Amino acid sequence: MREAYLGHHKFFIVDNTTSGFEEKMKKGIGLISSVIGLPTDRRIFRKYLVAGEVGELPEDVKTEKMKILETYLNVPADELADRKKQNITVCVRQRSKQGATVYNYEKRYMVGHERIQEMRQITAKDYIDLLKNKSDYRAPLLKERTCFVFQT
Amino acid sequence: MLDHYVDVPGKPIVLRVETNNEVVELPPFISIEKEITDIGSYSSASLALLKRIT
Repeated sequence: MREAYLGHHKFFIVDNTTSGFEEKMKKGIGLISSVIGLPTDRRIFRKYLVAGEVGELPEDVKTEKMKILETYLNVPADELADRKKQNITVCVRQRSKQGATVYNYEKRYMVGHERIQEMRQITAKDYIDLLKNKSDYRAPLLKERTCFVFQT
Repeated sequence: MLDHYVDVPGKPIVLRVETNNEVVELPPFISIEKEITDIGSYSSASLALLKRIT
């Protein structure tokens, strides 16, 4: 089951590292809330720069690969006028894997010291329409993404 | 997940880790240079800006 969903943009694991079943239920509800757009408990997110090239991952680590084209858009004027939101960026993303493509719209901003990310899936038509407003300042980025689950 | 920015100068590779756990455990089979979570110049938005001006 886990391998079937690896690489899906809404793939989450509620593992057994919690202190009890109640805590695990809370985590599960938090993740479902995040998918339907409700405020949730914070998830820990970290980024690391990899040293040099990455070779083949160990054979027992199941991976999924996809290509992502991320195109930044000009930030709508009403968003810029909202003084609570700082460092707003808006982008659309095309994710392709094994011949299937999905599209997302994403908005990121800061409120105080909190990093907010809003994301929703959009249709191909919406994607094409939104590209008409692509940023004059930022170039589209092509990423090759490798997803895997690592648990000790 | 590993993100390879194939069309950005230097072609950086970024390891992104998401977890609900308090402790972040990194895979030992990936060599890490440094943490860049709070370094704005490594955000995708900044890399898109860098690509535009180079």
